[in-house]
Parts: sequence; structure tokens; C-alpha cells
Amino acid sequence: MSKSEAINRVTHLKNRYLLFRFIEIVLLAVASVLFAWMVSSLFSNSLQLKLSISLSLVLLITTWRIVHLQLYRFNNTLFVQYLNSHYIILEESADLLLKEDASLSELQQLQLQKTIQRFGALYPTIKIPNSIPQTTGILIISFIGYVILGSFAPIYSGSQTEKSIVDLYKLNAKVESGAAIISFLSIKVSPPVYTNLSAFESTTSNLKVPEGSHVKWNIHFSDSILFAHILLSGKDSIDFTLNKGNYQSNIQVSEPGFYQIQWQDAKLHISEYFKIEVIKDESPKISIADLNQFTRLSFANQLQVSLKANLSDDYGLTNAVIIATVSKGSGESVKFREEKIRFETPSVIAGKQVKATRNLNLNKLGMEPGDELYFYVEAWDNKTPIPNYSRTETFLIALQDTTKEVAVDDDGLGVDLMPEYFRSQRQIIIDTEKLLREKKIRSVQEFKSTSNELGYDQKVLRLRYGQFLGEEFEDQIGKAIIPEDNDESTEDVAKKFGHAHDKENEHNLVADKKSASPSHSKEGNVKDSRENETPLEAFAHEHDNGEEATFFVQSVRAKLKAALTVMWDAELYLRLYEPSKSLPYQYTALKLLKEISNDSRIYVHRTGFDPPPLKEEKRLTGDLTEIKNSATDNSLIEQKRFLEIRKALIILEHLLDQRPNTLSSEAKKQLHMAGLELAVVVLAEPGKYLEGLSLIRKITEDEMDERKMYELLLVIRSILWSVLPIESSSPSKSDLILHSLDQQFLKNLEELSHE
Amino acid sequence: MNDVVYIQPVFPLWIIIGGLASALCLMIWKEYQRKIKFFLWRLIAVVFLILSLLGLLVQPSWVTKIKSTGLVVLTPHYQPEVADSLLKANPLLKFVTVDGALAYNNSNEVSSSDELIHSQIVLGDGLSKFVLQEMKSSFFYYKSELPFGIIKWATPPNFKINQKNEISGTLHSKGKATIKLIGPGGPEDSIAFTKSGIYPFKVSFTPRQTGLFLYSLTIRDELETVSQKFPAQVPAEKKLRILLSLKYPTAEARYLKNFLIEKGHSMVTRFQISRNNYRYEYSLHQPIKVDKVSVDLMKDFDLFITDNESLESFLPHETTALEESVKQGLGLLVLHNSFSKPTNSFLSIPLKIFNNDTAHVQLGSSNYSFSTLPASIDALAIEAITQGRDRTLSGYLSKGVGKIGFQLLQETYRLLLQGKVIEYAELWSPLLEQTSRAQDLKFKIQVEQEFPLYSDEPLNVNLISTQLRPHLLADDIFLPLREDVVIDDYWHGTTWAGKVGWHKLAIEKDSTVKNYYVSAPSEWQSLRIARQQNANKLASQAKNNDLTQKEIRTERNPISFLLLFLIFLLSLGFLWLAPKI
Repeated sequence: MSKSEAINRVTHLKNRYLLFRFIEIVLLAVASVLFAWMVSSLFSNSLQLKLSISLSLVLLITTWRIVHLQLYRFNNTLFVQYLNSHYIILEESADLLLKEDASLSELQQLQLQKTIQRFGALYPTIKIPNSIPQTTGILIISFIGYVILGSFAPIYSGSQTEKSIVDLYKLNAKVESGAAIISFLSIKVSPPVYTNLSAFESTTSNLKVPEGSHVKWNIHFSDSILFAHILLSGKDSIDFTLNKGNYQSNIQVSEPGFYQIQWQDAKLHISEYFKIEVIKDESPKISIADLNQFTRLSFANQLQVSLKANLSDDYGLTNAVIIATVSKGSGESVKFREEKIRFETPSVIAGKQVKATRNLNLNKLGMEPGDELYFYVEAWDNKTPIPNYSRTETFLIALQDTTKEVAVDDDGLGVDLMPEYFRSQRQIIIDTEKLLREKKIRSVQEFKSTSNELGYDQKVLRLRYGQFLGEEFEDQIGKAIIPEDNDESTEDVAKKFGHAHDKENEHNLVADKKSASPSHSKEGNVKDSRENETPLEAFAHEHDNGEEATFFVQSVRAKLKAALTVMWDAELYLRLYEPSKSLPYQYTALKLLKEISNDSRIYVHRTGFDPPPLKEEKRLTGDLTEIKNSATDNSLIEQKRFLEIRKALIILEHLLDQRPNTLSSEAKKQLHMAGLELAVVVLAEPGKYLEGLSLIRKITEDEMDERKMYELLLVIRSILWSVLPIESSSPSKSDLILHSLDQQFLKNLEELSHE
Repeated sequence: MNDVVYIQPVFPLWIIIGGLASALCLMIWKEYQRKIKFFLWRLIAVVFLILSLLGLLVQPSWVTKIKSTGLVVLTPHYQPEVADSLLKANPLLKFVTVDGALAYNNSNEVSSSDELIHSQIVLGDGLSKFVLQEMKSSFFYYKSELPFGIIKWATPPNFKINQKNEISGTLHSKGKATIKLIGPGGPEDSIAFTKSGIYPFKVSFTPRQTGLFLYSLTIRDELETVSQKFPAQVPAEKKLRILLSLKYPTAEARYLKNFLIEKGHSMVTRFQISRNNYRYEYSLHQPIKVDKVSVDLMKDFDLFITDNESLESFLPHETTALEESVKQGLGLLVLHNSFSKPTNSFLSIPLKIFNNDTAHVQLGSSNYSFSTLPASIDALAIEAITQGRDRTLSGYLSKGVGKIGFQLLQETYRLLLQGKVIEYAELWSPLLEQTSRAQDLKFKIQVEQEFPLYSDEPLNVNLISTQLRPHLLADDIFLPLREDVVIDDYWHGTTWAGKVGWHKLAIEKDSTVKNYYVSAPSEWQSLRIARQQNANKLASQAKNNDLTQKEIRTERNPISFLLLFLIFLLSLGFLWLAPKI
């Protein structure tokens, strides 16, 4: 063994020594923390106290060990001294290993060689001093003590892992001194499993929770109480159950609202109002990219349509399919075939955002010229137990049939459903063609004028068709005011030209009632994504969407829209004095109109009006004797909304003018009544109006500071006023006083006018 | 100093002089005939007697023209440099200051308002309107700088519920400024101004509840924020009684009918369904048969809505009855479905062809396109309600006490189909409201003073009655009224604005009420000062080129009545008591 090797071994041994000592210190520190925790738990539950005691002990023990063992200055020299003192065989010469060779005398060098050899022999047997077994024992004892004493430790309010809410003072604001107060309150919110959201503790009493969450209140009172319960939205009350000194209550929240905590010791105490806002689980959102709602393909085209759908949901999607219906044939022999098509990519629909694609091969769907394909995409999210559902509008792909002309006339019709102007597009085409033929013989002015007139005719035709969609298409020039889909008006058209029983979903072209029914379910969870965008959603109970109500609407509406769009272009070129450019659009419009007419006739034949037989002798006699005057009473009593709030506003205005210190009993009563009306509004929007409800309660129960009365009244007035809806105006009778001079003036004026 | 005598004869002067001259001659002749002692003294007494009588009857006074030193009234915010210039031009000027104005050199505070009425020059914000009314002579006015803040303010007399109410005003701003209109429910409207100057502006709000409310206008500039309240009286809607009669039912009429029924108006609807058969619908109205138009029938209604075709088909006696009804106050609204040639009929609204069948109308914040009758109104005295870009689309003409309205827009019900009820109401409500018969009131109370009113200031109340003697209560205290000396049934009274807040003027045993609001003294000062400056400017008539000359004014000194009476007594006593032998 060389000298350098010996020095390395000394260093190695020294390092091991230091390691052992630090392990000891750590074990002792852990043991001291357990000890401190164990002892302090006997006296207090304060986390800060426990932490501070533990930290102090750790510091103390660490310092003591480092100083005691002189670890802060421990080096090779000290370790060599240890070797000299503990191993006689080294003859107190181990320190020679650390000295420079040059500084050694010959004798010392001889002794060094001897020491090196002996150290080499001794090295494997050298034992590093340490107390690890002892300190491990101390740690084990401390742990056992912690476990044993922990079970005997008194139970303090609340779980050690739960934190009390920060606005605890609001709960006790109205409790007199001496009464039992809420000393601890934790609110744990557990969102539904399907949301994949982890449970959390609310830091305030006002809650904002995902729909369907379980909310657990855990309360400790400073003194014993008789009972406690939670008042939900001023209606239901749920009792707290006593569990290990704490009062607990657990409810599932599906609707927004507000709550109060009520408890009784010697007196009944009630907290402020706190809001519960619910984050609704939204229906899946579906959008179809790069595809018009109405697509016409000629048979020569590649009969493949690429369908790209963007699907999204707030918590996740579980499924999405394409429902395609192929209609074949025409007239009475029309046949429908429905297919459920899955997306190609991805094969499994899952996740919050999915871009799904499908290549629709029309040949594989068995489509032939003249056939039409209606399809829509529907998707479900992962909500349980009833998933949210939504679907797109119906898209239409038509394969042109160039070999067949559809016969329009049919003498067998009981009722001609189509107004006569349905046929006037042909007349416009004839006139346009005539105009083009006569272009050379007409003057420029005459040509332009005729073209403009034809444009006007085209406009009239378009407007008339527009009525059937309930739309004024002029509005869509530049700025579209009217929503693209006016369902109500469409429904009216359906009522006018369809039949009541058309509403049955005979060909599954509209949303399946089973899947649509959740929109009427009590939970009200399953709604169309478009509906969710409307503010009325919370208030209105929507029935079947007119867009989806009948086959008539689905098929004809899309075509009619397309026809109107084409008519726009036709009119545009006529107005620009370019009838030749307008003609192709006119042909397209005519073709579409004929198809619409034909589609409607299907229904005439199937469910046509069966008129009673005419008496030939009465026919065309003009006898109206059996027709009588009719009279109906349509009296409607106008119901003002928020009547009590309106009355309260008038009183509030008077109070703000007079600035009294106290309120009369009538004023309080009226404010109380207004509060009842406000409570209904609060249920829908607790965040906006809950403060008003609290203030009204304060004022009516004389719990406010008189000096702040004016400010409180101002806030209440502002909140009540904001509840009032903006209504349409109504004409009102104006006032007039007719003085004798006015009468004389009018008389003279009349005389003058006669002259 | 030139003195002249000024007389104010009690009777025509020639009668007095003739009578007294005759009396003088008679008495002298009588004395001459009697030839008694103290003849000369008695003649002198007779002359004094007649002269004293003359004095009593013609009320003479000496008019003195005085070259005065001129009285300058310094009012708040006057410009000292202007006062310096005046003093330099005329060192004899006397300066007085009114309350609130800074003292100037040896100026005194004005002792009474009587002193002010002789002012020759006024500097600063000007004299109050009460002093201006009493001014004896014209004066020069040098106004102070226009105050910062609102300097013009005009509100409608009553605000209408659920309708957009506009308030116009003018702001004098120092720099960047923002005006915010705050209602009971929070901010309603706001305008921002980027630099200093005088800006006219308009703010609007839509009241959602009837009653008396206080809105506030907050003006924020770079230095300060001023908030001032203004009153808004929103009266309750008064329902109309409407008769709708058409030759055939139309979608437009049906939707209009439904709209009015939903709003709670009393309606009778009559559509012709065949030659002799009609369909009647009643809403909040007893069933009646409307087989012919008569004056008595129309008294039951405030508004008669019909179309031009129905109007033209009325029999002559029906047309006459309708004319009479309109003259008495009935509102007639004609829905023009087709172009009809103008006639000279009283009920006819002359139309002329217009080459456009589309109109764009702004409703709310959006523009809407409507199809219209390709016609425009060919009359001058139209009150427009809906104005298109190029013509009036709806409005009315006043005929007698009543009105004849017209609507050229077609298919407005599309708005309802789109769910735009507010816009539909905005289109129809003003037309129906202004065309319909107004409610006859027995009394009308007017407050002469403009907003803002302040505490402890006189409030002149005028009252028009319809041949009834009114008993006016000001905050439940009877207010004495005097009838106008010229106009019958026109009454005047004066009360004092009480403490800050709402106050009420009401007629005893009648529902007529006038509410007014007394503002806090610190509010609306800029508006008040600007108005006072304008009033002073209007009242000052003197020419500026006379300013440096010494003012010459006249002063009347009437001869004492007592002196004349004593002369009369002494003369008469001497003639009676003097020894006659």
C-alpha cells in the first residue's frame, strides 16, 4: 500500500464517519418531531404550535449533536487522532500519513512505512463509531408513542386536514355575544366522477360548484346546541347530523340557489344568505366544416363527400355518429332508408376535443341519380346517468337526375297547396330569354328598363317565397338582422301547408324523441347546444324546435333557402342589366322550386284534405244565408310582472326622499313582499341578486345600523330596479285641457279654412 | 336741471277744466253779485279753492331730470378689469355689491332690492329674475365668464315608461370630461368629451317603472366630479279605447290587434268576411254592434283604426259623422294598403306617387327594412312620427281637436315574428298614442319657473280651469289664487319652494296633481348662472355708446295731496266763515 492510498482510505473512513453521524442526526430529528407532535397534540390542535415546537426541537438536537461531536470542524487530522487513540498497533504514528515526505526525518519515514503496512492490515477491521442503532431505537419508540398517544389525544373541532372557510365571521355576524357560534366550518365539494375533477374545499361560504357535485358542510359550534339545519333557497331544510362533535350535512347540488345555516341554542340563530352557483354541464358542440347545407352533385362528379366534424364538450365526449337517410324515388313511391354511420377517424370518440372525419361514398350508400341524402351528426357527452346530447342541422346532398322531367300537374288534388306565384319563375325566364333575343332591336334605355323590371319581378317572387321562411331577405344585404333560422315562422308555414299529423317523425329525419326527451326531463340537462346560447334557456320551457318538427320543414326548408339565395343572384344580374348572366341562376331557381312543389305534393297525396261533397244545386249560387256574423271575446287582463317589487320601488323612492331613521311597518311589509318576489329571481341568478335579499332581510328585521339606512336603501333600490325587465312600450292616452279660448281659436280657424 | 310738470288726470282733462272753469266763473259772478265785505280776499279764496280742486283731480307732479353719477352693481364672478375700465371712463360711478360678489374699491353692499332696480350697469352673473321684473329702467350688462358644467338642460314634461326618453343639454367643459346618467338601477347612458369647449349633448334612458324618481347626472373632468340630481316623473299608462274596422282581415291588422290586446287596451275589432257579414272581436269592451259610423258611437272610442279602402267605402252620412267626431277629438288612423287618388275630403290624407317601395327605419340601435306603399304624403302640416331617409312614413295631421294619422309601412308584423316586440312597439306606440283622443282635463297646473327650483324662492303657479273655480293645495295647504284680469278661467298664485325634495300641487276634489322637485342649493349652479346671464342679457336694452356719458334720468315728485286738500279746506272755510256783511 502506498502513502497516497493510505491517505485516501483515511479520507474515506472520515467521510463514512460523517455520514453515520448525519444519519443519526436525521433519525433523532424525526424522532423529536414525532415527540413534539405527540406531546403538543395532548394540549392543542394548533398546526402552527406543533410546527414551531417541532422545528425548535430539530434545531436544538441538530446543533447539540454537531457541536458535541465537533462535526463542524471534523477533518482527517481529527480522524487520525481517533485512530491513534483507538488502535495501539499504529503506535501513535498514524498522523505521519498526513505529513509531507520532505518534512519527515529518516526515522519518521521508517516509522511511516511501518505504519502504512500496519494501517493496510488494520483497515478492513476499523469500526466507525456511531449511534445509529440507538437513534433508530429512539425513533421507533417515538413512533410507537406517537401512535399510542395520538389515539388518546382529545378530538378538536374539524379534521386536521380540513381548513375553515375564510368568511366565518359572516356566519356569526348576527349572533349575540354569549350564544353558540360557528367556530369552524369546512365545505368540501366533490364534483361528479365523470368530470374528472378532484374534490376541493371551498374557501368561502359562497359556492360555485360543477353541476351534480356533492357538497359536504362540516361545522363545529363553540358551545352545545339543540339542533342545526341548512335552509336551501328559502324552501327546503336539511338537518345536520352530529358526528364526533361536528355537525355535518351532505347534499347534491344540481340547481343554482342560496342557503342559510340555522341553529338553536337558547335562541334560534340564522346566518346570512350565501349563494350556490352551478356550473352547468354543457351539451356537446358540433360543427361541420367545409360543407354547405345543401349540396347538389351531378352524376358525373366524384360521388364522394368528405365530412369533417369538430366535436367538443366541456368534460368529454363518449360517442358520435352520423345518421343518414337516403330517399329514393318520387311522388307516392318515395322510399326512405336510414343508416347509422360511424366516423372513420378516430374510430372511438373520446376526449374533450375531437376532429372526426368520414368519407361518404354515395355509391356505397346505393344512391342513384335523383336520390337525395339527408344526414346529421349527433353526439353524446360523458354525463351520468343521462348524457347530454346534441345534433347538427340536417344537411342535404342531392344527386341530379338529368334524364327525367317531373310532372307537376295533378288533377286529383283536393287542395292546391302551392300559391300561384310558385309558377311565375318560369315566366321570368321566358321574359328574360325574350329580352335577350330582342336585345339588338331594343334601345339601350329600353333594354335596361326591362331588365330592371324583370329584376323587380324577381324580387317580388323572392319576397313572396321569403314569407314562407318568415324572413325578410333584404335585411341580409350587408347586415343580417334576422337570425338565419327562424323556427317559429317556419313552424307557421308547416302548419299552413302541412298537416297536424305530419309532425310524427315517420322517417327518422329529425332527432329521435327518445334522445330528444331529456330536454324535457326534470334535470333539464340534455339541451341543444344552440339553446344554451340563448338567455331564455333558464326561464323558458322549450318544446320541439320548429326546425326539427316535420319532414316538410327539413326537406323543403333547405331547398327553399337555396332557391332564395339563387334568386338573389338572378335579381342582382337583372338589376345590373346583364340578363344573360342572370339566366343560369333563374334556371337553378326554377328547378329548385319544382322540386319543392313536388316534395309538398307527396304530403298532399298521403294525408290530403278530404273536402265534403258539394251539393251541385248550390254550387256557384252565391248563397250566403247560412253565413252569420260571429263575435268572440278576447279580453285579456294585463299581468304586470314583479308587482310587489314595483310597489316597493315607489316606497323606496319616497323613503330616499324623506330619509327617515326607521321604517314604518307598511314599508317593511312591502319590502318583505318584494323580497319574496326577489327570492324567485335569486334562484336563477344568485350571484346578481342575493345581496338584495340579504339587505331586505336586514332592514325588515331591524338588523342594520340606522346610520347606514340611506346607503342600504340605495343598494336595495338598485337591485330591485335591475330585476325589472325591459318591456315593450304601450300607447297611452295623453292629457288635454280645452280652455274656452282654445275652443274659440279652433272655431275661428275652421271658419277661416271654409272661407 | 330742467323741471317739467307731469299730470295724471282722474277724469278726462277737458271735463275737469271745463267743469272747474265753469265753477270758477259762477263763483266769481256770485261773489260779484253779493258785493259783501272782503270781496278781494273772497275772490282769492275762490281761485285757491278751484286750483286745489284742480290739483286733486289732475294729480300733478314735478319731473326732474337729474344727471346722476350712475349706479354699478357688482354681482358674483364679475371681472374687476371691466370695473376698472368703467371707473376710468367715469370716475363718478357708484359701485355696490350684491351677496356673494367680491368687494371693489369703496363699494358698499346693496342695502335693499329697491336700490338694485335703479341700476345702470350690472357686472358679473347678473341680477336675479325677480329683480329684473322690477327694474325701472334699462341697464348695461357685462356678463362674467360662462360657468363650467351644464349650461343648458331640456327635459320632456313627463317621461314615458318603457320608452326611450331623451334629454338634451349643453356642457361647457374645461378639458376631458365625461357625463354619466345614473338611474335608480345604475348607469343608463354616458358621453365622453375629449377637449374643452361648449358641446350640445343628448342622453337617454328607458324607465321601467312609473312613479317619481330621482336620476343623477355625474360630470367628471380632470379635476373634480360633480353629481346633481334631476327629477323624473313617470306617469302611469292610460289605456285607450280602440275601434279597428277593416274591409278584410290582414296579417298586419291582426298582429296589431293582438299587440294592443296584450297591452290591455279596450278594443273592438270588426272585419268584413262577406258582403253582409262581419266578424267581431271584443277585448275589455262590452259587445256592441258597429253597423254604421255615428258621432255617438265614436264618443265611446279614442282611436278609430281603418284602412283607406274602408274609409273610401263609407256612406256620406258616415263620413260626415266621422268628420264631426274627429273635430271633437277622435283620433283616426288610416292604414294605407293601396294608393288612392287625393280628394278634398276632410278625412283624406293627400298622397303622391313615390318611386320606392322600400324604406329603412332605425329602431333601437338597428336599421330595419320595410316594404312600404310607393307613396309619400302631399301635405305641409304633417307631424312626422316615423321618418325614413327620404319621406315621412307615419305621422298625423291635426284636424280640429282630433287628429288623422297615417301609416305607409307594410308588413311590420315581421318584427313580431322575429321576436322583436320592443322594436314593433317603438314603431307603433308613438303613432297610436299621438293620434288618439287626448283625455279632457278639468284643470291644468303650470309652474312658471324652470328647473332647477330652489328653497325659499317664490314659485309662480298658473292654473287653467274649464269654467270651474279651483281650490289649489300646495303640499296640502290652500294656496290663494287670483283670476287673470284679462283671461277668464286663468288663475295665478304664488307659493314658496319648501325644503329639498318632492312637493305637490293638487286641486281639491280632483285628481289633477303637479309634482315638482326642489333641488339642493349646491346643485345645478352652472345652469342657473348661465340662465341668469341670458336673462340679464335679454333685459339689458341700453346702447353701449352712451356708456361713458353721464346718465340723465328723470325723477317724479308728486305734489302732496294733503297740501292740496288743506288749501281746499282753508279756502272753503274762509268763504264759509268770513263775515258776509
